Amino acid sequence: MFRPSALAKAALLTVLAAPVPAGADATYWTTPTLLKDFFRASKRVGYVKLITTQHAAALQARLGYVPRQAEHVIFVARTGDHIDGYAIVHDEQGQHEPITFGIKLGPDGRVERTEVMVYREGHGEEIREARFRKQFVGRGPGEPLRFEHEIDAISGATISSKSATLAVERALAVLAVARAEGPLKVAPTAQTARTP
Amino acid sequence: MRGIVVATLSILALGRPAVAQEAPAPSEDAGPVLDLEGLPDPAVGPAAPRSVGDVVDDRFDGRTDSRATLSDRAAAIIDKTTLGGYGEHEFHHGEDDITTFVNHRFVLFVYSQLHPRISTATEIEFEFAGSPLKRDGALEAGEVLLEFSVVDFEIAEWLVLRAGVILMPVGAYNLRHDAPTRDLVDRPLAYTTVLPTTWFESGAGLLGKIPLGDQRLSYEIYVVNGLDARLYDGSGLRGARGSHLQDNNPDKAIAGRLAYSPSLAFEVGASGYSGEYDLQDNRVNLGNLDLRWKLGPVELIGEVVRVWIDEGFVEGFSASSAANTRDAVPTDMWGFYGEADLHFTIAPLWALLPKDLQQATFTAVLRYEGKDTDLDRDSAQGDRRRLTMGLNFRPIEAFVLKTDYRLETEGTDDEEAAPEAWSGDFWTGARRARFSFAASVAYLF
Repeated sequence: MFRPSALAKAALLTVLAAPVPAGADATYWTTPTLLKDFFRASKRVGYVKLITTQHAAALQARLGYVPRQAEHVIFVARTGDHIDGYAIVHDEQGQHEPITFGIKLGPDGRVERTEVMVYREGHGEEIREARFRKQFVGRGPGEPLRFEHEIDAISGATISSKSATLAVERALAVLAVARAEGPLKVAPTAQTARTP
Repeated sequence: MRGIVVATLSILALGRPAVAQEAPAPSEDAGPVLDLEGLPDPAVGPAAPRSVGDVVDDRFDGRTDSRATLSDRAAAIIDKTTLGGYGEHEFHHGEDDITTFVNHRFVLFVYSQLHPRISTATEIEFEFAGSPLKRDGALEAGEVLLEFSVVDFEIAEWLVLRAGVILMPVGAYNLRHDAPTRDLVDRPLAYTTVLPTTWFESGAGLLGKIPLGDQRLSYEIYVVNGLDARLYDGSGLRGARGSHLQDNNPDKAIAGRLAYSPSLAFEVGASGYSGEYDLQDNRVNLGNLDLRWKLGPVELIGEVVRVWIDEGFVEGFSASSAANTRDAVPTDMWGFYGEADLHFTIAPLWALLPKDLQQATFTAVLRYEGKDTDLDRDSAQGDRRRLTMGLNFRPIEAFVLKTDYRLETEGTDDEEAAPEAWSGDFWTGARRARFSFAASVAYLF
């Protein structure tokens, strides 16, 4: 028997039970959840740090500026002695608030995936859309990555789109500078990780 | 009524389309061992907001506690509220050699997330420095106005309830009118008159986005108080917008836009408005098409709008109101613009700039546009054509220096239409286009 009241209750419960929408001001990934998802098949993920002041000239040469961050953490995923890939997490300024990005790079230093980890702005969350993020996949160090050239902005989210471009460009440069001095060596525990 | 309720609930009960990217919930034991001891997580640091799923923030909730101090309440609100805005300051050199600076607009933006599903956003506009402003030696009223002030309840990405002062979803320009995001100083002629940007009305409705893989469908639809009878040749619908206090008739207008974007580089939208403008059941009906297409460094933007108005008169206001002119309203309007933007950089110039400005870009702009706010008659105020060449410089995305070089023709009150740019009359002769110049600085903060 058709009972509108039961349907109404079911519909309302369905809606209210829906996951919290992917709105602004939200954390989508923490660093551990992101690393576990980035490197599902790897055995271990450690990290090394690149100290900005020690590599200012190299960073300047690649980026045209010296990043204001004192240090850059590079996550290194390994299976035995084999390096499976790298990840870099950092903030880039949006229109009003910083946006936290996570960038996965392959063993060859090319971008494999990007994620918006924390989005704090009122508008512009469309940069989380897959069709925007996939523009970065396959980009390598030293290749042009210019906003509004290689990377199209999302209409209505121009500043957030540019923030994403700058974040990926910096991640590529940081990893390239670190790798230029040889394979990254990750210490057995984070506390003893050393700068390459 | 029951049918409407059942239908609505049935729609709500439909399965939600997959969002572009949902936060996963990986098992603690799954994946690699993480050697991250001693490493802070920027995603959960003190500056980061609550996680998705956390219902409220204790500190924010505490602002309603009567024992909280004023500074506690202020701190709680500031934690959840983003302040920002934009401004544009202009210089105009008119066709009659009159020059002036214009402090056009300063807009304060306030955004606050009350809950993961509930947010509020407001734009407070100070136009011409607010009130009062000096004109012809006398102080007159400027403008301090809420042109956008809404509260949103997000049930799902594709279903958001919105109420307040609605930015009318008619035309793309009205929705994306912020000065720093536009490449020319002046708004298109038709999009300040035939479709009066910034067009806002009090009302409520729904909006949402539906990702379809690499494509996206979005919609907005609202019920609003709507336009009143101040419809004129020249100013178009501009005087009839903005129903903050009360509706002038029992009818509620409907406005909506459906946009389809098959890729990041392309979007097409169709929008419309329909509502009574007086107490005699006379209506304004409006249709608009908009297009944005990006081809590498070139961006093509265009819109066309048409308005059909039932015959009527400018009347129906309170007996003492000067607004009761009893003029016949125009019954047919249209307008359009087409714009090509070329974004480029000049590499040798970078060497002259400070390092942190080396992402600077230029944009060259060409726009052709026109409007006719009374298709039944040609007039100087109602018929216009304009060709604009512009060049702007963005040292950073949130700051732009603009210049406009304009050639403009108009109709005559003797029923001669404004010459088009492809006619000889536009360039030579007594009715040739008049030149004017404008420059501005616009910024987001």
